[in-house]
Amino acid sequence: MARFDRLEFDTSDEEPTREGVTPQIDRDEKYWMRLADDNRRSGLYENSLRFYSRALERDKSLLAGWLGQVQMLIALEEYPEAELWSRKALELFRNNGDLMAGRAQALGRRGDRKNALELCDGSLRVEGLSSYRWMVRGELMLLTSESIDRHCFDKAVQLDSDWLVSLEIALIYLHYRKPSNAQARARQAVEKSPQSAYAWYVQGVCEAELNLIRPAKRSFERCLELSPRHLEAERRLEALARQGWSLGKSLRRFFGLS
Amino acid sequence: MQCRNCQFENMPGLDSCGRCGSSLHLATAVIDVHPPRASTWSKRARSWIPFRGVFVARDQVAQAVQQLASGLHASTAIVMPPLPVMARTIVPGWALIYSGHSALGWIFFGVYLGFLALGMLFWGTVLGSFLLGFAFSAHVSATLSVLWNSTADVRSRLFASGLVMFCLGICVYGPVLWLLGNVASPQTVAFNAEPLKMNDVLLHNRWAYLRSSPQVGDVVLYRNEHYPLISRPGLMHTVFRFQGNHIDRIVAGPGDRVVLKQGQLAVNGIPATRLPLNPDRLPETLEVTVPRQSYAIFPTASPRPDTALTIQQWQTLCIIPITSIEGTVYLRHQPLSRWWWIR
Repeated sequence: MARFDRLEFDTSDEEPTREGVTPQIDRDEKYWMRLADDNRRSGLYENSLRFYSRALERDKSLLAGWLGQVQMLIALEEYPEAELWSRKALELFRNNGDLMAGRAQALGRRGDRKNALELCDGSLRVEGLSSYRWMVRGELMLLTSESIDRHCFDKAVQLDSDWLVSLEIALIYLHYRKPSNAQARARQAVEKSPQSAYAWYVQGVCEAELNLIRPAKRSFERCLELSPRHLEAERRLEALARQGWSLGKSLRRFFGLS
Repeated sequence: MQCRNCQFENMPGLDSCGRCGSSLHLATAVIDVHPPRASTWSKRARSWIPFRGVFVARDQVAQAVQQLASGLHASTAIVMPPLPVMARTIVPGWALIYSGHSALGWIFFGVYLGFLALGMLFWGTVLGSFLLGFAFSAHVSATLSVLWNSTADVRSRLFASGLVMFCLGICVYGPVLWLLGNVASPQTVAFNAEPLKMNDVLLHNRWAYLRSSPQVGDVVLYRNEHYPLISRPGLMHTVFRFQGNHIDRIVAGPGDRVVLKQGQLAVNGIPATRLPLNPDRLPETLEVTVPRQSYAIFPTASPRPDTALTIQQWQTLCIIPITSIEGTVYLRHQPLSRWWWIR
């Protein structure tokens, strides 16, 4: 047909190398999982969710992919969808502790404490240890206002010393409006991975919540140095710059209340 | 073949894991891997709905029901069924169908529906009251058949019957009857006055003017407080009471000028299209201006004294303050042979 005569196709993949052989790009499930993980570590949860789905299209038995989807839905605050999806995943991977923890987290975020605690207890009884289960336990202890959340989060960090674990704990504290606890965890994440722009960003958010303007500005500036196109960091930096001097804030600072 | 869920080594050729039951062919199974997503408007709506409060309330109700159930069981031999079954007793027969007694449940439901339909058909009459009473009994029986077990003694059954009647009355039928009593209150006509006949049952909506004002042309139920004084030649003065509830059409609104000339009604100089229920009983001549907060309603469908009323008496009787209008009359419900809308 005439209207398809002038279509242009991207032929960059087909350009021959020096040896004259076209390189094949290996886009199997491992590639998509790696991409999903990278985006998650950059705070790009939508992209991460999309890449987890791509990985699962290649291999539906990837437990990490299903779990990642549930976690990303929770991070995007789509709790009913996360709960539904974790239930579906549990039909495929029966009695999987991590998926039970994911469902417990989704239920907890919706406010259904009773069922969330039951599921969380069940996930810890299942064989195997994972930091995620202890993270969810800590979150539910926060929800029920019990004071052992710190112990659960420490246990999670002990099981997995990855900086992302500390950062996600900081995000949990931020969700439940405990910025001082969040700041401590965010600082741990920054210490473990000073090259991570997202860790600096989250630390900046915690400091801004605590009204620590200068430290927050420094954190956001560092985030922008590492990732110049970080729009959220730019926006928050502008907001901080607009915040002028006020007597109340100065007095609070003078008396050590901020 | 290793299970991806629990890492158990299964024999080749198996479809599901021998330990956890997960499918061993997940890698190639036809499953949708794209999760459902929330739309923008639903995310916004969720921020307004207090889900936490809903779940807390649900847990508290479940706890209260459990305490009530254990208390009841201790004092009587009644076994409280689980909450999902109890919640379904609100519809007769549904709890039985849910519990597995489909035939019995459907029978109860059918009997209840039959009595209810007939009762509503004869709503406002003595027969209708009896039929609705039978429907209530069917509902109570359906609920009791879920509650008591075969070992319950007479005292427990009597107690259960009273409790169920009380609960259904307070929680279901009380509110429903109150609602019906306000939007479909039956009014039985006690006299013959064309177009109304004695024992006609008319349905009356008390809430018609909760949010709006009466309009010209509405057929309304109103209170008339007047006592016209009628003189008869050669006899003492007679007091004729118009006091009480009357039904007729609003002919003119506040500020309108009503003129009757040779039996022809005009409002603000324009011939009226919405006439009273019995225009033949209008006076020959009349001129009246409707004051503010009042309406012109001629009592043409009401019993009348033998002697004709004077022009001044008509002028007094036809002006009805808005506070005396008690809602619209919209349907002649009985007798069924004359069932129709009143317009």
